[in-house]
Formats: sequence, structure tokens, C-alpha cells
Amino acid sequence: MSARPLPRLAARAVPLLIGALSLQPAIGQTAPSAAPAGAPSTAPADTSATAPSGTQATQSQAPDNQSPDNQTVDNQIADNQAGGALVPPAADGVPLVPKGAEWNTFNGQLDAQKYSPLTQITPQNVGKLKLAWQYHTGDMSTGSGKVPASVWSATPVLANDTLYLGTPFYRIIALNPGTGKVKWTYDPHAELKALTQPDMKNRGVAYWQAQDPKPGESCQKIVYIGTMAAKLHAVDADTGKPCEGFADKGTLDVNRWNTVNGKWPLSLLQPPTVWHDELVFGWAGKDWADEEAPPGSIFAVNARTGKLDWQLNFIPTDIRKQTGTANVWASMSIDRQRGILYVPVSSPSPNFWGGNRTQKIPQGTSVTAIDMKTGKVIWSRQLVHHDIWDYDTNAAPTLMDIDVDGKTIPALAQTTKMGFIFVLNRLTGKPVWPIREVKVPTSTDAKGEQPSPTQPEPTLPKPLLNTHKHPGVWGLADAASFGQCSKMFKNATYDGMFTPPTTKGTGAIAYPGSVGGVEWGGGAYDPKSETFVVNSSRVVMTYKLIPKADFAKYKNNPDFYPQKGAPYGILIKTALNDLGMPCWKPPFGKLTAIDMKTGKELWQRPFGDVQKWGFYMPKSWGSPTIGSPAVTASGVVFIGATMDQKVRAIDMKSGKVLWSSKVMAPDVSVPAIYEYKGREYVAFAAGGNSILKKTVGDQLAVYALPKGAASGG
Amino acid sequence: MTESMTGPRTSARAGTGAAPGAATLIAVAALVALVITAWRYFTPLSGVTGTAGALLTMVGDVALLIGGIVLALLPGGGWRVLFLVLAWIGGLLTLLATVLLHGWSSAAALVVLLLALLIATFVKGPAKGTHP
Repeated sequence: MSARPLPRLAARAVPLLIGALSLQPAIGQTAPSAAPAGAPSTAPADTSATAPSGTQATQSQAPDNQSPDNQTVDNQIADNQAGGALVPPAADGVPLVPKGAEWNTFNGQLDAQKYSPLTQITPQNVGKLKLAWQYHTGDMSTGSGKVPASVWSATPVLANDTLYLGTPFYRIIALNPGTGKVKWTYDPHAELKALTQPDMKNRGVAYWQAQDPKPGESCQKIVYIGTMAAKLHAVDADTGKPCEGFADKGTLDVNRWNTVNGKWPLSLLQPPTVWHDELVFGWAGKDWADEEAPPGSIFAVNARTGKLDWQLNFIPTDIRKQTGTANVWASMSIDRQRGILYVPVSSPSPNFWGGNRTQKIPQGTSVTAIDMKTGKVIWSRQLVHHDIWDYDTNAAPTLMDIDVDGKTIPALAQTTKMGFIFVLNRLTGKPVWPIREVKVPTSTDAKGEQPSPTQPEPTLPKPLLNTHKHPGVWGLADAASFGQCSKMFKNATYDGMFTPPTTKGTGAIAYPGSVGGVEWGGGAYDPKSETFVVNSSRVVMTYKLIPKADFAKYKNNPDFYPQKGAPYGILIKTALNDLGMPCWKPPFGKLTAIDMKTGKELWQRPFGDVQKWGFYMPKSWGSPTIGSPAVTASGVVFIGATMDQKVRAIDMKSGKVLWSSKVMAPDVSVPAIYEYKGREYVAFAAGGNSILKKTVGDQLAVYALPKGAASGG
Repeated sequence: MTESMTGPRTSARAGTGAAPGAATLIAVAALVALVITAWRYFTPLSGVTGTAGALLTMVGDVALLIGGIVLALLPGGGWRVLFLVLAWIGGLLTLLATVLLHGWSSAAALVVLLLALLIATFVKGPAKGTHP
């Protein structure tokens, strides 16, 4: 199949673009040696402290059916076009990092640092932490009945003197932050079916409040929750009653914008990101199911009314119908000073064969910076070219101001499934440390496939795992299975991380596999010490393409996904032997701390315990992890994330475990750290995730120092 | 009654009528380990609630408990030797399983059990039928 020519981009005169241009001075200035997304990056590392005027190329092109009430921005970045929208200036007096202790979003704060300035709990006294209170939501399912199994990854959000929770059954629960007493609950009576995901999933709620609340009026403070059926519910934060003025009596049906390849609903599992009076959100789709899927998009709606202010699409218009996804299913971050939104964009569909999309999709598997006011792309950097490994960019980039070689750089750290951390100037998208374009294998037996000959690889920080060599066959698992593991590996194809999926033998070894690397939690950052802490998994998977003619053989195989419409389905397996033991050598997970002044590793340790039948395996093996850390100014890292259902406190300087406690199920969320009536609390939502183990939970476990034991910071 | 009336001492009897207290201690230690592991099996958030590993370990504890009782009753002979060997195998495997369950208290009980087993195996108690 020959590549279709990429059409020349022209700036059509459209009301939105003209309106945006009139607000942006000096449009069209050339970006100094800025490489457009998707092209090899040979620019030297960027150590500039300020953003050069002009950024990576942007062109806006609205569809022909644009209406003023539904403005869509299509962003297609030309390969060699320079100029574009200016970076919005910093807002005076608005620091990147909030001055006070805030935990009012999924990532703690809009900068996604997951950082608390609280110092009551210290490395010296954290060993005294006790369960202060706990709450069971009642919303969990093992999947043995009619309701699919639950996966709960919600961050508790503290706002309005209340701790708000979203549950996997899409209820909102408002709790007293000090006691866990229920203030109110809201039940949207959502459909509890696996419409797009195999499990009932939720990552929590979002909170908004009016800057000038009108006394006596309801819905001046609102809590939002999305459902798998693409409904966004808005309720009064004080009463839990639906906000009648929001969309249709408190419910926005996001599926109204699902107009291309609308085979399944745009599931709202990740709460919206709130900035001023705007909510912005992406959606999650049905993994690995279809070649032609809804094309990736994000929506910005008015927080009070639900009216669409802008929509941004990530797939070029001319190929939108033949492919899909490249959506944003994870969380986002916002530079509060400048109103720049940063989104992690996933891979296009179908995920494991790209013969239908050999044209460039510059924003597929990218990190993209967007002007919140206009929805225009400021810059975009593709992290995987022609992604055929499902290496979605899957976490909000963490925004940080770092001191490198004597200069302060407004930066971001983008974690990835591949185990790379891309550190970029967040105003320009240029790398802080060089990114190499590395040659990767292109040989494939998949018809129509055209793998990219190179892939970007950051030089610093070093990858969290070896991307050129898998861990090797584990002798213990091989012996226990009478050679099953070595046979599996022998019959697989492997030539580094970017080995194309194949029809041959066991398939291609994927290391890291689709579960990462790093998952949707991303990392946490301490702005005082400029330390970035991130947990990562080491999991080997195999990807075997199955030709359409052989689909019938795999009909009942739970590891088979049809990628309907494509000539190949995919068999995705974790490399386990028949006893359930990993066939690759441990460790299976690590926790890493990185000095962001130098990009160098401070420490890295196996993290978590693997359990089988209740037996704990050696600590040196570590555990796969899902969820993320949170850090405090006193130098404590709090994290759940591990298979062993423990939550831990870690010394940020050394990586040593200072405290742990058992919870009901693996805590696969971002912990919340907050202060209430003079006491510092750490809250973990222990909900479980079937990727780690089948154990499910509905427990919110909240810990604090015993009264009187606090050191006072 | 004279020594001749009791019959000659047999080699099987000699050296195996040892410390019945040791066998009792084996049974008690096994019972303690069993109770602790059972508590962990049934208690939420113990780390091993409802797991096959804890259940298997409890089976081992029960076997050791029975073994201890039997050893306390067996005066000597080939059966005692057999049960001693089985107790060693069972004791070491159950201790390993308990350590893998991170059951430190029950592991301590099993260490006591193994010490008692050591005594039962090698320390000769007074032979039956002898009088000071």
C-alpha cells in the first residue's frame, strides 16, 4: 500500500482563526531551529530560560460545517513550517506551584507535581502514622455477577471543606475530611455495563467554583463526574443536587460530538481538568477493537453551562475516517501562569497495525501544548513515530521550573509506557537534554505495514529500564515449567523495544509491554530539592498478529482482540508460564528518584512485593505497579501502587521504606495529602486493578499522626 | 520385680524413650502456629486473608500437631523413627511456608517446635522399666 500524499496545508479563512489571530500579536514569527513534531530532532539541548517568540508550527483548519456554537479546531502541523501562535505571557503573581496546600485535582494541583508543602509528617515521625478513619463506598464488584469487576483509581479531592470521591459506579460521595462522615451522596444511576472497558473504572471527580459566587444561588460550586456512557454530571458541591443550568438539567451528553466512526461512547473515566470557568476533558475508548474508531479529540466546555467553547481534534481531517483514537484518556496539566494546557495523546487505531495510517499523524502518541483560551496547538512533540505498540502517552506531564547549568528552565517531565522520561522546555517543546533519533527495526511480515525507521530516545534522564535488551529468561520459571519459558522466547522475535508485531511463532517480544513502563499516575516532583520520583514496571509481553483468516481459531481466546476492519487481529499475552510465573528475570518493578538539575538518577530500588497464593516473594524481585507517588516538603514519598496491597512512606533522600500499612486492595490511585483543622492526612483509595490482581476494594483509608504526636513540622 | 523379669532391653527401645516433654512441646508449638496462621487466614487485611498459601500452611501445622501427639504416645521403635523423620520434613517445609507468608510470630513458634524436635530426636530419656 503506497502512502497517500499529505495534502498541503493552507490557512483557510475561518472565523475562529481570524478571531484567534486578532488576539495574538506578532503571529508568524519564525521559531528558532524548532523541529516540527514528527520530524527527526537534531536540535541541541535547550537551556534557554525564556521562551523564544514563535513556537512550533501550527496551522488551524476548521471543518466546513463549523458553527459559532461548536467551534472545532483541527491542528495539522506541517513538516517544515515555522511560526505559529505565540506563547501566552505569564500572569503576574500567579506562581506555577500554589503557595498553600492544595489537593483539588486528580494530580493534586494543575501542575501535576503531586506535591504538598505540608511538613507535619516527617521522615522521623512517619513510622507513627495510624489509620485516622476509613470509609467504604460500597461500590465494588468482583465481576462474578452481572456487574463487571470494578477498578477504582480515584484521587480524593479536597475542596470546599469537603473530601469528594468518585466511585467506579459513578456516584459522588462528599465526606468530612477529618472524620469521614458522609455529608451527601449523588447517584446518577449510571448504566453499569462494560460499554468500552472490560471493568467499571473511575478516576474521581473534578471541582469548580465561581470566582465571585452569588450569595443564595446554587451551583456556585460544582462537582463533576463522568461515566462510561459519555455523560458528564454536574452537582452542587454543597448539596449534591444536580445543577439544572448545566447542559440538560445537570447532565451533558458528550456523545453528541461523537460524529465520526461513533461505534461506542466516548467514555469519561478521567475527571475534567478545571481552569477558570472552563472544563477540559478527553475520553477513553474500546482498546484494540476497531481499525476505524472515533478520532481523538478533547473538549472545552463552560463550567457553568456545559456549552462547548472549543474542540480540538488530533487526527488530520483527510484520514480521520480510516483510523481513529489518538485520544486523550489520561489526565492533563495546566501552566497556571500562562494558561497552557498539556495533554498526553495516545496512539492511533488500530493499535498494533498501521497499514491504514501510513500518513503522518503528528500528534499521535505525543505530548501537546495547547492555548486554553483558544484551543490552538502551541507545540507538539511526537514521542513514538507511527505507533504500532500501543505506547500511548498516558499521564499528565509534570510541570516544573528546573535549574540546569545555572539557568532556570520552565520545563515539563513526560513519563511514558516505554520507560523514557522526556524533559522538555514547556514553552517551546524543545528538549532540555538531547533527544536522539535512534534507528529501529523495520522488517515486518505484516502486509501494508510501514514501521518508522527511527524513534526518539532521550539521553537524559536515562531510561527507567533497558530498552535495547529484555531481561532474559528466568531460570526458576523455566525449570518449574519444564522449559516452557525458554521455548516461548526462542520462538519469539526480538530486536529491541520497537520490534514490529509479527505473525510468526510466539509473536514479537514487547519489553516494556502495553502496561509499561510507567502508567497513568506519572511521577511526583519536589520543587524544593528538584527531585522527581516515579514508579515503573518491568513486564514482558508478546504481540502476535493474527491474520483474518485465522480469527475463528482464537474466537474464545481471552487474549485475542480483533482490531475489526484491519487485516490482522492481535494476540496480546504477558509472558507467563502455565504456573503463572513470569518467564523473565526479576525485578518486576522499581521506584526511582531523579535529580532534575542534572537528569541523573539519585537512587533506584526494587519496589513492592509480589505475592502468589499468599506467599511473598523476595523483596529484590519488586512488583509491577499502577498508581503514582505523592511527595511532601518534609521529604516523604507516599505511594500505594503495588501488588501486595500495601501503602508506604518512603524517604525521598534514600529510597528506604519508613512505614507501611495493609489496605483492602492494591491502591492504584494518586494519594491525597491535605490538612484539615491543623492535622495532616494522607488518603489512599484502595480499589484494585485487574492488571495487578483480581482483588477489588472500596476502601478509602486515611492516615494521620496520633493526636499529640505531630512534630509541628 | 527383677530386671530379668522385665526382659532384656532392646536396641529399638534404647535411646528412643526420650523426653516425652519434647513431643508435647512439639504439639503445643504446632497448635500455637496453627492458631496464629488461622487468625491471619480469616482476618481481613492480614496480608494472607483467604489465600491458598495460608491454608496449606495450616494443613502443615495440623499435621505437626498430630505428629507431636503421636510422638508423645509412641514409646519407641520403627514407627517413632518414621514419625520423627516426617516431623522434620513437615516442620522445615511448614517453617519455610510460614516465612514466605511473613508470619513471623508463627515462625517463632515453629522454631521452638524444631528445637523440641531436636531434643526428641537426639536426647535420650530414661529407658522404660528401669528403676533408680
